Amino acid sequence: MDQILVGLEQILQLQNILLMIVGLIVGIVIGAIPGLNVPLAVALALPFTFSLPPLAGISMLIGIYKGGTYGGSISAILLNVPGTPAAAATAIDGNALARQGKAGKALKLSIYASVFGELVSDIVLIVAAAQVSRFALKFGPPEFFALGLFALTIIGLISGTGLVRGIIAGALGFLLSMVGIDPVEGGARMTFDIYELSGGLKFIALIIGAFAISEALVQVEKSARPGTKLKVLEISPHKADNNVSKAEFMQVLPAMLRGTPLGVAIGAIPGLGSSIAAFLSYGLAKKLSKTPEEFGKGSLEGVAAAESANNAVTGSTLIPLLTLGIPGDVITAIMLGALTVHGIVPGPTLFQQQGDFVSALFICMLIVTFLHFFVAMLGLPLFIRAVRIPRGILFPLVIVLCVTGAFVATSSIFDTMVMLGFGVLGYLMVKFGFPIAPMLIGFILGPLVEMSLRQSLIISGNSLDIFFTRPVSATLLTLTLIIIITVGWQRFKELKQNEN
Amino acid sequence: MREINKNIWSGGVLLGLCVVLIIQIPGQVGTTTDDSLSPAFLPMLVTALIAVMSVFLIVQGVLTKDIATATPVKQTFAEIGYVGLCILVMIIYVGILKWVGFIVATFAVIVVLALLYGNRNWLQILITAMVAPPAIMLFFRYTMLVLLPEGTLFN
Repeated sequence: MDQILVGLEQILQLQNILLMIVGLIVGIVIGAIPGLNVPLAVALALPFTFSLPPLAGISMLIGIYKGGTYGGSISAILLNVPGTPAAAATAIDGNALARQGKAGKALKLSIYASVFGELVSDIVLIVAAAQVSRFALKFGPPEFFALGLFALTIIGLISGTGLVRGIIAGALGFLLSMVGIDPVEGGARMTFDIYELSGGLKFIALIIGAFAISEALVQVEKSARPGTKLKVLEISPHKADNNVSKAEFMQVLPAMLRGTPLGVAIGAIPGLGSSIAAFLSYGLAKKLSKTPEEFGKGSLEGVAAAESANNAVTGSTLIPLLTLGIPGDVITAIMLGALTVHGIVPGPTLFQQQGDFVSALFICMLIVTFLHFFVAMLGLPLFIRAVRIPRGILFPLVIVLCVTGAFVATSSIFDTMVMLGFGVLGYLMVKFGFPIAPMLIGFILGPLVEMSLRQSLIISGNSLDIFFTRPVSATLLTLTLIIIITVGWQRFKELKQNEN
Repeated sequence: MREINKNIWSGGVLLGLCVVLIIQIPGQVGTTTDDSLSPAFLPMLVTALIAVMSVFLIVQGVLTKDIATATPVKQTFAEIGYVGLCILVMIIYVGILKWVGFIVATFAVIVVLALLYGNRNWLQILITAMVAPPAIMLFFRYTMLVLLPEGTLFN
């Protein structure tokens, strides 16, 4: 109780509230603009948080995360172009409603469903996180090694465009994390006699380069093609088309009640993410609906199911991050970087050592959810305009902010050049079908996996038995093996089918 | 329009890089003790894993040309040119930042990039290029207490 009161005192400061609102607005606007996405928004905002107190910086990032996850639905509904991949399921019925002149209704319903999903997800985070962290306190190096390997395997295998590409991307991130000083023996490793590399490759350079610069390069390609202009649908002047009635809300409530727990569960598992949650929820809603024939033609249930599940991921993804120090997706990986920069190390001991911060963070999640509702409702006309910003103004500014952010964060022209290098690498990965997320997660988890492996072997006198005689590590390693075999077998069958 | 099989190309390039790394890593890792795991062990293991996966990619590209993962990359020379120019502009921007100063360099880079991104509305471009650099510089100076380079060229 004392911790809650201290947390309330810490979070309820004007600066924090204003930063939450700024974060929400930035997140919604960036989420709404096709071509920009939430990881890009969080990556761009990261350098700005360095000079802020930890809680203030994280408040802004949470605002961007929640706002951006919702913001994708605006362009999905108005343009049929999902601002974020997770909003693709919303576009199916949201845009159909907009074409019927009911864009206002679809946009408002997406706000209700998003906020509902977020609120439930926040509550689950608050209730579950402490329990998980108590269990995780018993973890030693073998358990952390097994856990890191398990998370890395799931993210490499499930996300992205193929098994082999996912593994390569994850391994590449792991390899990049090993540049610099060896954490055990202290010798230089893979620095190629470049002095600036002895401190290792900078996380911020990787994030900004791989997510923001690569997207800017993908977008500049479009300038070389004769493009088609996106048509933004207008909002109807009729009140009935712009509001969700009580009867309509009650009709979609079951879809939201099913989609939300689905999103919460998927968010807590590393590597799955909001797109999967949205599509699974949409599919489930269609299957159980009394009017499945309306799906695809402007079903309110379809919008509610997709949006509630999509946003229900935002709270639960923080469970593995805060309790185990394992980021479940790209955004939480960036948040891990932000926390680490401020000297806050997520993991089982966080709840014991910095309970006040955790309480404040939980309260912050709830406040951002409530603010989300009001900011989204009041700012809707402004956010609709955001989708019309010309690419020829937007991306030059994005590039300038990337360079400035990287320069400010690293204070080094060399690291800013490295950031551009990561941008080119990210662009090539996109062009050649490699997922970027596993590379980032590999970069983050690499040091954890390496340190815990080497510590375990020192403890056991170089015996691998230590990983198989402890129940948690043995279970996690077995699960990792089962997942590799199952996914590998499925892909092998797919290849065989394609050949036939 | 050039078409390349992305499995064969990416697999080939990665395999080549892995071979270089496997040769280079032993000389690039300093070690002081010989007990437990060597600092070179994991970099070698991970590089070997990437090499094996690259071989899988090449085999996939050769054997299964029709599946989705082997879809060729279609790239026009104009597209490659735009991307190359954009990279060049960014490198020059970072390179001259300390010398020319943030405001002048950013003004120039916004104009060039806006044209590269297809914007031909000069009024819009000039207003953005004149307003954004000082706004960003003042934001960093007064809210984050960070000084962006003022340049030495005009001193």
